[in-house]
Amino acid sequence: MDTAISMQGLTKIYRSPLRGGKGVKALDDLTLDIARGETLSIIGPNGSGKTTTLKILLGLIYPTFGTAAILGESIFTRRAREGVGFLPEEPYFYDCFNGEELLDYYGKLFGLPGKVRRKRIEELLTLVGLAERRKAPLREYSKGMRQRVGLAQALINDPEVLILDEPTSGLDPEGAYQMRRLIRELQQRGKTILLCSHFLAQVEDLCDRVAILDRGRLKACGTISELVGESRQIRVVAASQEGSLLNELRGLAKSVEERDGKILAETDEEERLLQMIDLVRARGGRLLEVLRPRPTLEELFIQVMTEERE
Amino acid sequence: MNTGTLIYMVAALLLLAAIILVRRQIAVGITHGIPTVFRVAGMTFAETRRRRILQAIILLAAVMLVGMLGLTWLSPGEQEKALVSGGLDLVFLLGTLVAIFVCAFLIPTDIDKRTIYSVLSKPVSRWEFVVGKYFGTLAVVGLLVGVMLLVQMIVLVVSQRYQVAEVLEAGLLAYFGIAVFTSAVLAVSTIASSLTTVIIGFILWMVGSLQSMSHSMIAHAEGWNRALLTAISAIVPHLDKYDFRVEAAEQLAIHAVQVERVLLHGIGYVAVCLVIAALLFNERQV
Repeated sequence: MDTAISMQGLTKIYRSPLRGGKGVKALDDLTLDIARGETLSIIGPNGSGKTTTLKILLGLIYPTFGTAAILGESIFTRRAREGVGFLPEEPYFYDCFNGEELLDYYGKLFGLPGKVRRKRIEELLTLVGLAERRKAPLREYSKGMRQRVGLAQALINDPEVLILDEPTSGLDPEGAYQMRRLIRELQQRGKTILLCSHFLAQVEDLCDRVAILDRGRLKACGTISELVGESRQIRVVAASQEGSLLNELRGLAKSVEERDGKILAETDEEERLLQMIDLVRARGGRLLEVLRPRPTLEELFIQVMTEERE
Repeated sequence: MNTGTLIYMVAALLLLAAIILVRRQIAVGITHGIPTVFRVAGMTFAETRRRRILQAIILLAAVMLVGMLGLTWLSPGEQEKALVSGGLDLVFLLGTLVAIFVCAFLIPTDIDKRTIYSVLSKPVSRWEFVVGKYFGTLAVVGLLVGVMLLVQMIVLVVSQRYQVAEVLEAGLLAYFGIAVFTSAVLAVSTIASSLTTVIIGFILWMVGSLQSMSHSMIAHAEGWNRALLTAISAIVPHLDKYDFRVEAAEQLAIHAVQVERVLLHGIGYVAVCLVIAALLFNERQV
C-alpha cells in the first residue's frame, strides 16, 4: 500500500501541572495507515480522540508517545505540512479581510509566486462558488460561505492530502449537499482525504474506510462492508389485500411485520424464502422486493459503542 | 558596553545556540523562516490597522498634538517646548498602550477564535509566527508613532524655532524603547490570556517607567528584598533609558555613546525576549 498518512502508536495524555496525577488519556496507542487516494473517516462520540488525532497530525499539539508521517515526512517537519490542506471545524478567519485577500495570505504562507496565487485563487473561488463574493468582507459571510472559503484555503496549495474536520457541521441541507459534492469532486481528482464527522450517513456515502474511536482507542477499522458484514437474513417485501397472508407468513418466516401497508417477512433459509414467495403469489399479493438487509453504519456504531460500555 | 548589556548579549547567544541545537528544524528553516516572518508581520499589520479603535487613537493623537498649540498663555518659546515634551510623552504613552493592547489581542485571540489553526497547519513554524507577530505589532506602533512625530515636525518646522533633528532622534529612541517593551509583553502573551497580558503589560509599564529608582532601592535593600529588586530590575525593561524628552525640549545633544548603549542593551533584551517567547509558544498546545 502506498501510504499517504501513517500513525504509529500515537498516544496523547493531557497533564495539568496544577492537578498532578496521571492526566487524561485522549488518545491511546493509535496505529492507522491511510493509502494515497483513499478517503477514510474517523468517527466516534465526543471526546473519543478524533480532533486530538487531527491536531497531532497538523502539529498543533504534540503526541506524548508515538510517531506519525504525512507523505513520508515526519509530522514535526515543515515539509509534511507543505502537502496538506486543513479545514477546521467551524472555521474562523481574520474577518476584516475579504475572501480573495485571505486566500492570497495563505498562498503566501506556502511561498506560492504571485502569478500562481492569482490563478489558484480564481480557480478555487469558482470551485466553491464564491467568485462573485470575493470582495465581500468575511464578517459578512454566512456559515456556509465560511465553510466554503475554508475549503478553498485548504486547497490553496493543491495538497495531496486533505484533512477535513466536520466539513458539513452547521450547514443547511443545501450547503451540506454542496460540500459533499465538492468532496466527491476532490476524490475524483485523486486526493487523499481524512475526514472527521458525526454525520454517519455522510460518512457512509463518502468514505472508502471508516475508523471507529472510543475513549482514545481504535475499536474498529475497515470498509463499510467489512465492518457491517454480510447479513444472512433475506427480506421479502410484499403488498396484499388478503388479510390472512400476514398470519400465514408467520408460519414460515423468522419475523414478520406490517409497515406502511407493506408486509416485511425475514428468513435465513433459502427453502423458506421460496415458500414465502410462492405463498405471496398464491394469495394474489404483489412481490415488491427481495433483498439482503445490511445494517447501517449508524446501527454498527451504536452496536460497537454498546458493546464497549457493557 | 556595560555589564548589563554584555549579560543580555551573552544570554541571547546562548539561548539562540540552545534553540538551534534542540530544535534542529528551526536552524534548517531559517532560509524559509525570514520570508515567512515578514508574511505573518504583513498580515498582522494589515489586520490591526483596519481596526477602528486604532484609527481613532491615531486621529486622537494628531488632534491632541495640534491642540497643544492652543496653549496660548505660554510664551512662544515655551509653547514649542511644551509641544516637544508633551508630544514625546504622548508618543511613549500611546505607543506603549497600543503595544499592550495589540499584543494582548493577537496571539491569545488567535488561539481563542481558533484562527491559529489555519495558520499553523501551513508550513509556518511557531517561532516564525511569534516573531512575525512581533514585527507586525512594531509596524502598527510605528504607524502611530510616525503620524505623531510627523505632526510634531510639521508644527515645529512651521514655527521655525526648533531644530527638528533632536526631536526626531528622541522620538525614534522612544519608538525603540516601545519596541523593547513590546517584546516583553509579547513573550507574556504567548502563554497568557488577553486579560492577563493586559494586566501584566500595565505592571511592566509602571515598573519599567520607575526603573530609574531601582539602583538606589537595591542599594538600600537587604537579603531577599535585595535579590527580588535585582531580579525585577534585570527582567523588566528600563523604559526610562529611552526617555530623551528633556534633551529634545532643551535642544541638548544626545551623546552617541549613550545612544549606542541604549541600542545594544535594547537589542539584547529584545533577542532574549523573542527567544523566550518562541520557546514558550513552541511548547504550547493550541
